Amino acid sequence: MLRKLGLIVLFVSTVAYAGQGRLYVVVHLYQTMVVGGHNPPAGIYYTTNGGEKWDHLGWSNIIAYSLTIDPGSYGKIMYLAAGNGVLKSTDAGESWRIMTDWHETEVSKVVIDPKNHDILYIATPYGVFKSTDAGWTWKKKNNGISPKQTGTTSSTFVGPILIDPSHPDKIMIGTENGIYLSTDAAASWKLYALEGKGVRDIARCESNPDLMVAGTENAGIFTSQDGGKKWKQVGNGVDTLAVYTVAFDPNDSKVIYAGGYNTGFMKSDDGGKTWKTFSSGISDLSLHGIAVDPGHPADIYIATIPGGVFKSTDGGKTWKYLFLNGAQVWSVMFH
Amino acid sequence: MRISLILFELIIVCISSSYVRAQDSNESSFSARRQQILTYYADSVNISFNPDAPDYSRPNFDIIVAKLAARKDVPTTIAALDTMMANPVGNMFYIYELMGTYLFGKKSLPKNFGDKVRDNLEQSTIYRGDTENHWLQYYTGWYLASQEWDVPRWSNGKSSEENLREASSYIDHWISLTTSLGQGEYNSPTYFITYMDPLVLLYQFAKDPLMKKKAEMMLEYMLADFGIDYLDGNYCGAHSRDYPYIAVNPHQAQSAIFGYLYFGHTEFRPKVREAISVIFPALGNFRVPDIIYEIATDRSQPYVEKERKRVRFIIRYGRQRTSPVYKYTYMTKDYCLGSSQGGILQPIQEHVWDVTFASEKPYNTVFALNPYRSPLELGLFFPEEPLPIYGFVAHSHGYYGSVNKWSSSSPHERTFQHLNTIIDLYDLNLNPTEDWHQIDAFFPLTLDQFVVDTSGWIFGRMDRAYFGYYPLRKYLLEKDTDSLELLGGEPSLRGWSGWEEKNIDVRLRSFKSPNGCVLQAGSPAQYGSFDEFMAKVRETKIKFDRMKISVSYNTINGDRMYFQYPDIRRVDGKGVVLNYPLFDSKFLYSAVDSKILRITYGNTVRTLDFNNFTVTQHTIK
Repeated sequence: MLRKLGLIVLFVSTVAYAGQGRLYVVVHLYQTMVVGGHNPPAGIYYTTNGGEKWDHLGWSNIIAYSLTIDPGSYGKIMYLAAGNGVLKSTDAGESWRIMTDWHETEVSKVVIDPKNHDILYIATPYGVFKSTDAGWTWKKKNNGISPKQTGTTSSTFVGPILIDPSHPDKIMIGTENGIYLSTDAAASWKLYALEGKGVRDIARCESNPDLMVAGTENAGIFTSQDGGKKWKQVGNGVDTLAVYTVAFDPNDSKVIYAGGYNTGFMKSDDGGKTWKTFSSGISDLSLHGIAVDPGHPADIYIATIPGGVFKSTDGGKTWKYLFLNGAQVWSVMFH
Repeated sequence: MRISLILFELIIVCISSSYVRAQDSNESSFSARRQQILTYYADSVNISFNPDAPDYSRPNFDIIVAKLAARKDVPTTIAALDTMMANPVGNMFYIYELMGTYLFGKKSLPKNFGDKVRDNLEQSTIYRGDTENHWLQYYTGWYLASQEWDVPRWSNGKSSEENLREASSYIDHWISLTTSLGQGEYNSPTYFITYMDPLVLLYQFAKDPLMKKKAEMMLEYMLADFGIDYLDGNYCGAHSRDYPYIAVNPHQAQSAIFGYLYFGHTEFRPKVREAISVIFPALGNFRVPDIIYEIATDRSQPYVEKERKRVRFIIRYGRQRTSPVYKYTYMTKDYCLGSSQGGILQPIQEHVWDVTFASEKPYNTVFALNPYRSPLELGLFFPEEPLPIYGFVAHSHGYYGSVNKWSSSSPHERTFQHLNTIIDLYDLNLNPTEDWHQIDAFFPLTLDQFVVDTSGWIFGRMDRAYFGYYPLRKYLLEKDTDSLELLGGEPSLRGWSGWEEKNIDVRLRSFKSPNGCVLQAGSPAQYGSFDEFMAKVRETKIKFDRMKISVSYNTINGDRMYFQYPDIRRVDGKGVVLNYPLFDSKFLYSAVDSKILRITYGNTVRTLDFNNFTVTQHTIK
């Protein structure tokens, strides 16, 4: 079984899916948003029936990026990464509290330590912050990535965070300046790979953790077969694309999905060596999230910006529009 | 010796007596203008619930608080307030304006209305925004709400105590940052008001005397910063953020009516877009100190003001999080020439330089720019993906995608100003992801005289101000026929009668690279008649070296300026290093990291010390 490591919760989510079957999407904003005006609801939407009916959850007047659900909480403990900071709910989204203050802003991702759920890491444009008390207090963890040390602010522009499930002190982050690795639970960072590349997303194959794929800004897709030490850029005309989302197929480690700016839905059947694009039925070709139904891997959902959510029931060959046209849907996930 | 002493004493007496008269003038004229503003908005605008009514008359906090304070149309006004609270926008504007409206309008509201406001903020979630002015508004709103009511859980999940602590912490941080390294959203004719209003509310309503003092001192700081660049209602010089419709017509700036309230020396233009946001300051007890009023209005002698501001936080692609902005302003009673050094200092709305004429005519300015856009520019400052954010920004700021826009930063522009001369250079070797390969210059049709001279200079006059503009490369000169479209579809007047926005300018456009111009400003007091000014300018010498991208220019004053793109600047052979203090002129001085602003006028010195939040004023003997 494979999964995307960027969201540790997905492993448990997959287990929980059989009972709950929720697909969540997070709307960053609407393309027609006017700062200060009445805008369509952003934030979290979910469906329990494959996209036929959707409900909104929580704050609607917010800039949001992604949702993380504590895997041991039966869906009750949620973290929303947002412009206002980190919002937490302990009642399945009925009520929320901003857990951060003004020091933490534009949070794009919350990641939970798989062994200690009180330990959280967040990705922001200003670096990594860590909480050891389930979000009540935060400390900046930029030793090794601060602009004074690297000579660029790009190194603190953090996107994906991956925790090694076996060794939670080993953490990999994708930044605008490449991939950095910490082996001491974010106490320090060292440049690990892809120096100078804007790394937008990283996925790890669950059945073979050495297999990884990364999407980058204007440099396309990279694959690694040694756990991220060495990366190989995929050719075949995709090496200049801006790729925002990557994922392994849960049943076949050779099948990889990707998408980005004006790319359409990209699929590789040979471990990333060659890629095909499928766009039939997709009205907006810019993708920012991919979720494969763990119970029915032929069912794939994509988040597009600003075309909304689309679904494929044939492994990505054809697509049908579901919801949220006009929205920048930043992420999509099962729980 | 005796004669000299007597003369000296006479001078002192003259200065003192004129200063006393000015003090009287400041207070009395302020009161008159304040009353005029409050009466106008309370009496002249009827609230309409018709969704098709103009913006200003539909329910909005400003008109509501104006009427509540004046006890005009109270039932209708309360109904309008109920309407707004029933459908809360839920952002930083909403929370601080709601609190300001409630606190200023309390006496006209039913006794239990406070409970409604509190309940509303317990339920309405509030988006914080993503700029410094947003955050000051957001935290001011929570500060005022949380000191007013002790609530265990507001809509953000935090208690009053937690919100007060966080709000105070951010406000302290912003004050410290601004007074140490300069303001980030510096000298914006639009966003100036979004700092002033929250500060006025904090000054007026903060129960903590220290917070009140901090707000008072920051109001003085902001008004000193405004006043030094103030010329008859215009916010002159370089701006961090400037909408195109304001860049071409400074009288339309929101800051103009704040200038009218605090400084006068301009017409009352209540129908300019968002001018009504002056209501909170007009209602408040804050008064601008006489010394700042004098600095803002005394244009008897030309002066140079140098300033250091701060680049908006650079979240990627930069070497450091922020870097200095160097501003240079040359002020006279007839015109002001001001500039920053160029480059990308702010996204989307930067205004690098202009000459502003002391005139009540509309479109009283001349400037040039490289209309520029690129994913790199947006990626520097915004956390979204650079390529798709293009489309979003183009939607929210329609002009950003316009090749004709009149507001723009550009990494390919650098300037060098010395007194009333500016050299503006462009290296337009753009990479494929960048647009556009041109420079545009704005010449208003409201000029009294406009001469395209055979010498290569383009001359103009508006009232008592002159300019000569020398294009360094071949150009086209065309009349813009539909300026509203060219401004990016952002109508400035929103149904309020005012200036027509068609046929406002002649546009100079040049596609060559390298490129640039020399602008020489002047006035009758400096150079005599317009003909004499033109004759003197024609005698100046310009040498443009395309290979070096450099200009040597002997100015109208006889100074030898040399500027080589991007950063070699010399006057009379001596290198000019841009390393200014936060403020540096005969009126204002503040060293970097000092958190002290010294304000000087005549023999009076006022010191704002943000280290210990004290204000002292003394007279130099």
